[in-house]
Amino acid sequence: MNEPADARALRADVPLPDSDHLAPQRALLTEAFRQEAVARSRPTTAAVRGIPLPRRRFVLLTAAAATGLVVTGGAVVSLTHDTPGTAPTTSPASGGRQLLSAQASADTLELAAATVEKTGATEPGPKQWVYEKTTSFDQGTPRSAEQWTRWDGTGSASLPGFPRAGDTSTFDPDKLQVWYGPNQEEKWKKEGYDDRSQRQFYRFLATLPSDPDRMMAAIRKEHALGDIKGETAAQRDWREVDVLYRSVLIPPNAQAGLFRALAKIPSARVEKGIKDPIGRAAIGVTVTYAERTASGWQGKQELFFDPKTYAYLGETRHAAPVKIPKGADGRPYAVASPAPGTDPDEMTTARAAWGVVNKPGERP
Amino acid sequence: MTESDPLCRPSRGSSTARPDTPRPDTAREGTTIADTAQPDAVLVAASLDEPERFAVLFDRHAPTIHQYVARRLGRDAADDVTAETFLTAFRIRARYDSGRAGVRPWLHGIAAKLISRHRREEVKALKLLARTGRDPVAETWTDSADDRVTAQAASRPLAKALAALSEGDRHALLLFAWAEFTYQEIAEALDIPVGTVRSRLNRARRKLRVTAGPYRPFDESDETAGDAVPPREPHAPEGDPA
Repeated sequence: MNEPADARALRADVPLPDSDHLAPQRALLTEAFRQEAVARSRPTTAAVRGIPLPRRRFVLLTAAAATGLVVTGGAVVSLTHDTPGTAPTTSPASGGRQLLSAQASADTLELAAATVEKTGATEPGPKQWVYEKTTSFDQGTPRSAEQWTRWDGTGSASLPGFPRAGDTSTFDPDKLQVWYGPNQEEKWKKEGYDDRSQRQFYRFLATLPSDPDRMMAAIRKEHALGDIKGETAAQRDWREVDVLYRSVLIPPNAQAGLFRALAKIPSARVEKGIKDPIGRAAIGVTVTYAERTASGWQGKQELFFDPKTYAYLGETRHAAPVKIPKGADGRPYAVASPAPGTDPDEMTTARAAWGVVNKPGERP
Repeated sequence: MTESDPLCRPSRGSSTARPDTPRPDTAREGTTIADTAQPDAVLVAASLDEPERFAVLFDRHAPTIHQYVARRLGRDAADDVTAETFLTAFRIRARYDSGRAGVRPWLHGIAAKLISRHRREEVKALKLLARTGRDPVAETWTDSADDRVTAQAASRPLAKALAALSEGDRHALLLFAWAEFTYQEIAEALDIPVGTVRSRLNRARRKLRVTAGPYRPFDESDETAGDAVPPREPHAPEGDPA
């Protein structure tokens, strides 16, 4: 290297953002203050408005962190660690809730795969919009947000909205603002740009082989999720499947493949007779990590599906407790107890409604 | 993916502020003049009862967090990571230990975890820079790619070396070189002993020498240079524990 060859010289012209540039991030934080104040003053408030994080090119990779912002209270049901081939077991403490054996779980997931495989699917037109209403929980309080995304990736809208850069003095989060951008599919062709339009991703999924091992291998190769050192193959597959279910529209072959892939995760079990996070009848597919995983999860992770159509309904995940560095003198830090009835490491979201509509603002 | 938002924020004009430019605190919406003079730890504690007081910490540290993350991942990712860093910090603020040297290492520790989720993109960009001289990260704040190819030509071996480092070593090195952290601050941010910081930096330096050729990623007195960096206000001065 030439002089002055110094790590400090690399990208040294990176600008310091001004307050305008950071206004959306500050607005999100301010909203979090408000949410907390509302939760304190009215703990039983039915619906408190939430603001989604900005979503751009790294949406896939930031999705896990974004959902980390929502927290809910709720009992954690311990899994019974059964062995393959045993009969379905019933959890004695939870009424109709059944935790299936490994074999029964695999059978159920194969039934789900066979069911969705027979479901027809029509790809939306390029100018149609995918609608999704998400309900998440903040300290036990539900927050709903609606999102419209144009199929060809050129537009998006959300309610409540969030302020973009620039003057935010007249910003109204309840007024639908549709954002149109450059052709994402063209941008995606550029090296270093990871995100795809919904159409691109749907078509990618449609090309996947039906064999779950080959399908997961293809997904690992093409998907934008990074490897995490120390993560087991099963943990990685679970994480990949979990993120893939954030697609509202998944072609039937890929839906079937995902259920079969879940069946191949050794510790995954099916729970029947349960409710999803917003009270709909559901079946669950769970794994439980006794110890912190390399990707930062610990405890019970569960995906919820409709018991008849096997449509994705939501998920509950448990993050490993955040390790905060100790003080300079090595003293343990003070840990405050979370609010009663809440688990600060639990993250729950539900897909309350979804569909394809012809313009933003419409609902199925 | 489903939630693709194709809308990138228009690139900003190139601010020329330096990473270590002290920023005078000014009262902004939702903050008070009195708060802007409060130490970080006091504000964290006060925010437990009055959440809005956390806003001063954002105004104080978000610009440098964003700048650091942008230097590693680009401005778009920095927008997201900065938001997530402060929302996470706000959520877990009850666990903040007021005995720590300052809030900045704590925030950078949270940011480092989020940056790690973009490891693949970061390495990919560094490799592209090493191979072609084109830096997709720097292009997020400048429109003149051609100029950058020339300007960054000398950085190609360095980019190659950085790409080859482990994530932990890269965190340590770049917190040292770009965030200008002391060894102790790096240790706090990454939750590792100071001795490990030293070994990581030594290892990173060795690898950079081998890969990038003979050059000095640090000052000659690098063993003490980190500790000699004066802490920036409002951080309390600290001794050299090493």
